[in-house]
Amino acid sequence: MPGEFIELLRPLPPRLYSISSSQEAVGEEVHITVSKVQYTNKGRVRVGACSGYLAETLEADDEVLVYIEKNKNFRLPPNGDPIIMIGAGTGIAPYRAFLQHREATGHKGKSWLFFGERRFSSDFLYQVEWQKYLKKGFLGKIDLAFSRDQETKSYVQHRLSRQQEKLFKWMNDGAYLYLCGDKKKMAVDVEKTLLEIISKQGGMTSEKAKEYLHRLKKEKRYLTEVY
Amino acid sequence: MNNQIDWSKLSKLEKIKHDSNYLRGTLTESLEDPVTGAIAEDDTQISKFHGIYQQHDRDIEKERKRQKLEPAFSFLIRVRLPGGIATPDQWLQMDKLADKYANGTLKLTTRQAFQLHGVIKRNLKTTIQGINEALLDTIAACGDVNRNVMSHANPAESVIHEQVYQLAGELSARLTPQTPAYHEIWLNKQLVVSTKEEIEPVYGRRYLPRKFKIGIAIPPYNDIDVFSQDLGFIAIEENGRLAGYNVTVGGGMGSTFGNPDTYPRLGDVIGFCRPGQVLEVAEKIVLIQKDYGNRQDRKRARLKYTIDTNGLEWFKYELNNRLGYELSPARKFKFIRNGDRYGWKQGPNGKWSLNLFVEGGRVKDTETLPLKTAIREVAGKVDDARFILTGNQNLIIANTQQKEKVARILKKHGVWPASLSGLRKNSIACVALNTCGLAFAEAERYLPDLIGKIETILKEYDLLKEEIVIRMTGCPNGCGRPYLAEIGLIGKSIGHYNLYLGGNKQGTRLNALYRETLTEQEILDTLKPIFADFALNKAKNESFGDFVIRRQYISATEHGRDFRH
Repeated sequence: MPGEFIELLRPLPPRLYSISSSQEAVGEEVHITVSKVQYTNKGRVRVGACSGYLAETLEADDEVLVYIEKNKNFRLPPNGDPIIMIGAGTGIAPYRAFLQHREATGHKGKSWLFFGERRFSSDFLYQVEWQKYLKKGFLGKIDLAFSRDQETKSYVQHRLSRQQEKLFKWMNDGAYLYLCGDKKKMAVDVEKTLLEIISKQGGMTSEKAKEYLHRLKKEKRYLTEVY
Repeated sequence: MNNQIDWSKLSKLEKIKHDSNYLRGTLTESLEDPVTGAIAEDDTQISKFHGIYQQHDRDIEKERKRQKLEPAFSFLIRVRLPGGIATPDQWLQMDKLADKYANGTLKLTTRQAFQLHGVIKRNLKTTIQGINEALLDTIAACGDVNRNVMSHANPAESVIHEQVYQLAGELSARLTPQTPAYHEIWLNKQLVVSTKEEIEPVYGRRYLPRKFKIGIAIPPYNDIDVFSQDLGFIAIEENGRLAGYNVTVGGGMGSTFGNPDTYPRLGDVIGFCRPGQVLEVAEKIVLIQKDYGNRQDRKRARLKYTIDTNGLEWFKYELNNRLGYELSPARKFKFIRNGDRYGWKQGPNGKWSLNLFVEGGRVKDTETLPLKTAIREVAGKVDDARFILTGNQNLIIANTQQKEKVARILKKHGVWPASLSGLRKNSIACVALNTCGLAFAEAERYLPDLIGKIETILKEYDLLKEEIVIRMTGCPNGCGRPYLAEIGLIGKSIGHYNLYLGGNKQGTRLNALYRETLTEQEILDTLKPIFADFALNKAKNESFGDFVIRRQYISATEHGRDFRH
């Protein structure tokens, strides 16, 4: 019986995507930022089960089953405190939501975005929106790393490193630090770089630097959404 | 003095130029802005004076917008090359830069310049520095200044070619902007300039009201279309020696659809000057245009309108006044052909030159024709050759004593000999889509196909060998000099062209609008019966452009003011 057969199969696990919009700006809509997984296996082009479905199969006005998993901490500071947003690839999603929110609510707090992707020409996600936020003053600073645009690969942690003096000052001045994106590689490299920066700029041992970052975490000023 | 300028009356660009601090603008800041592949809006005007146009790929404009990406910006870089002559090393360097930083092709322009297309912002500086390494530059290749000076291309065609070519260089040097901005911005060089000196002794802070074009022709050939130039010089050869030059003023191609105050115009011959007077005459004419040219309406700013507004007699009086002497009466001259004459020719110096056809001026490799590779091989192996860009987007491999070697290389790649119809040989197309922001329709990407279809008709009437000048542009601004063609096609919208007939082969008569807004099929259907008539009733040696007037398909355009779109 087909029904019995189907019951034998393991259900597809849900896929979690960060929301990249603010209700203040888009009302009843919810935007997500999906990168289509695509690879070749044994000569066949395969696409990700969910990202492929969303990107290729789904049509406008189709319905999909969704649920919300809340990340209570990964929010804008309530009072317009400075924010440092670090993300690569689709890790840009929540920051788009942040700036939508700030624009919709008219908050021009200090803000700094570090974003990394492969190529400037094709992968600068939401490029025209960042340009608009910069122009209108909702985004204060931006640092970009496009890894494939030059011979030696440059990633978001290299941009952090280059800006370390200012970055550490922002952190000391009470900025909120956000990190979003790939867990295995990007998050590890960024955190390592952050510790180096704290150690060097703060004249701390690596132990002290760890404590410093840990303290930020405890104060909910270092927030991550990694996957 | 600046306080007296009423900016509200002037074209917006006048203020941008004035405020640019001698062509610096905010170019340095623009180049460093990582958030955009574009430069600041005002800088897109200033960059032109540095030979750089900002463009974007119009083919993918909509798709990028959907992706929340800005347009795919890139830059056209035009390399100034007075008289169009490049050495093998210069050719090789341009060839390399095209592959490394541009779209892998070289465009040879209708003004004997090189163009690189598709250079993105972060490669701009490196590319300009690469051009500089080859002792070339891009200063004043565009902008409201004197543009690339053209001169008769083929050294094998005239004993005075070398002298005329030298003059092109001298004119260019005399009228090049003197601001150190170019060296500062692109080459990281600080030039020491005394603050007491006038930075731009000829141009001043606001440069010219509009572009200015100079060309020198050597009769009986008019390959540079001397009457299309703001300022033309017609070399007068007497007994094998250069006697001097007839001076023509007020030519210009550009016009605007729906604006009858704009029109193409042919230059007027106003007199003759000795070789030693040319630089002074040119500078005075540039200064008259600087002082009297229209700075309010850029569409009416070329020298041709300054002359028509004030009168030719006024212009001559003004010139004589500034010179302190009168030009001599114009000498006799006769043009027999514009365009290029293909094939090998031995020059008076015993050296050989080969005029090649380059379709649409685009040097590239295709599956059937590895033109770029072939020319690169010639440049690498034939050290005494010169590479001369003609005013018709073609290339002359010139002044070599290694004719056999050149012939062998080109034959190996199937470049020469080439079998071409008389129509194709005489074709010019501007760049148009997908990069030119002005284009309403295709030109370079489309004309080869259209010619193929017209050839089918010509074959039917045994007219394949008949030389007919055909030129297509994507807009009425006239980069491809379409108003001088026997068959002119100017884009109105995607897939639609105005058809103009009745130019001549000497480049001395404007054509006239024959039919409006034609599709491809309509173009073919319109031309077919005329070709049938031509095959049957053409007089001996009668050209197509003369024929259509004699048979009253169209009446000749006597003056630019009478030209209608």
